[in-house]
Amino acid sequence: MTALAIKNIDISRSVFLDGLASEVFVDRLTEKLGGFVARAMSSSCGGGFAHYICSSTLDITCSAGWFEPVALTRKIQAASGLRCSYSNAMQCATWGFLVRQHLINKPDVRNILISVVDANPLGMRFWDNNVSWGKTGHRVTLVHLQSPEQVGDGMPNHPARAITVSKCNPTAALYDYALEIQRTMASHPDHTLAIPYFEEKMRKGLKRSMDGIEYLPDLYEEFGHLCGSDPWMSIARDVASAGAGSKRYLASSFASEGYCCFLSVMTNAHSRICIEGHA
Amino acid sequence: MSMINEGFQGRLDVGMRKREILPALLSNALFAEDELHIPLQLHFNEDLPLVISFYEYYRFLDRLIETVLQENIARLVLVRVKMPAVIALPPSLLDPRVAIFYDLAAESEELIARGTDHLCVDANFKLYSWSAGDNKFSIRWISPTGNRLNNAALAKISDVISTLPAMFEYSINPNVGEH
Repeated sequence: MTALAIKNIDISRSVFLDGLASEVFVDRLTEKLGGFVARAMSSSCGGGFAHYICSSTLDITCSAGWFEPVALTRKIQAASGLRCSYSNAMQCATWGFLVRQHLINKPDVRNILISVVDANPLGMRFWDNNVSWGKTGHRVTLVHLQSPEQVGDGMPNHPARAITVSKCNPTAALYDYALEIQRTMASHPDHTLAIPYFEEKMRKGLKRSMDGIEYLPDLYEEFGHLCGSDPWMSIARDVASAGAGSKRYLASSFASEGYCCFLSVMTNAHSRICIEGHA
Repeated sequence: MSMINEGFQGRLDVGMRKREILPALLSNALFAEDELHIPLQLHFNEDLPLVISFYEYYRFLDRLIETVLQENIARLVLVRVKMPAVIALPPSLLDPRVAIFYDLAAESEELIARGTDHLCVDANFKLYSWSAGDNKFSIRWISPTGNRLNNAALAKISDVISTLPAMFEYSINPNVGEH
């Protein structure tokens, strides 16, 4: 079974991005993400690097011109020497769709750096608390994944087998998502599932459909919904409490328009975890 | 072998809109009533009209991507999509041969460096009141290996673009090194 190795998960609160002018916002983010890319590239991991930035909450701030994502990606490229692209199209599941296009189009580039950036620079109430999913927490989550070396040609060994994406019907989205969970976990029996954080009322039905599945706890009460960072926070917390060892996870995100993704990942003794505010 | 960059670019024209009753999908309630001071910090062109809705834009993307994939015009398509949106993307956009980004330049440069032919569907439409879109679009075939689209493929793409209320024109290698 193809899984991507977790080299590093680094999670910070986004308060360092609050209340800034847009130029300063871009500079602070460049510093943060550029540093992550530089550290990853100096960690002597062979196999080439690619960097993608995604977000759920940075939507209107971009398309209404408060800041221009191209300015951010170009600055990070200038600082790190590595091209980088931004997407927010699949909302919280964007990271999964970025991983999918990478594994399909550039399977030889083995190091995938994903920056999941959520912040609320304009202080919009919707992005702090809304009727659809309750509280939102904002994090900058930096994930360094490494795909396995492909042995031979053909699909059985292709790294793109690690990722599954789907689209649920938005009018029955949680029901559809529960079916996707059951279907995907059935083909990943040795994995622990990490899914998004939901309010209790949304979680109830999902829990019932996860009988017999090993899954990580919902941390909504502690963090709120962390958008695309949820599964990475869960895995990071699991590793931080149990210690880094060999373990497989199915990291999943789900978006309000129904997009969902499942990525098979594994930790080992060398996986590095850093959660701001946690020992 | 020199790189090929060919395709169509154009601009939406509100005067070319055909009559059509649309689902009421143009609202966008991300701002609460007492948060309307926030748009004052944004940089959008108030004079630019909303020419098409999310519904029409996604219908256009669906027709174009379906055509390109079914007719085997391109094996990899980059599509610009900006959020927020009020409806889900059409299923064709989730095809594994489609990659979606906010801006296509960096990814296209990477694919050029790797010698990978691809189609860039780059529309920057103003789809909601505060959007900074400019209503322009370009649909470019980029071939670092020097392949050109045949006339039938160009005609099929042109037919789909003709469904937009827009003026557009064809060009090839307009600025070498840029697209």
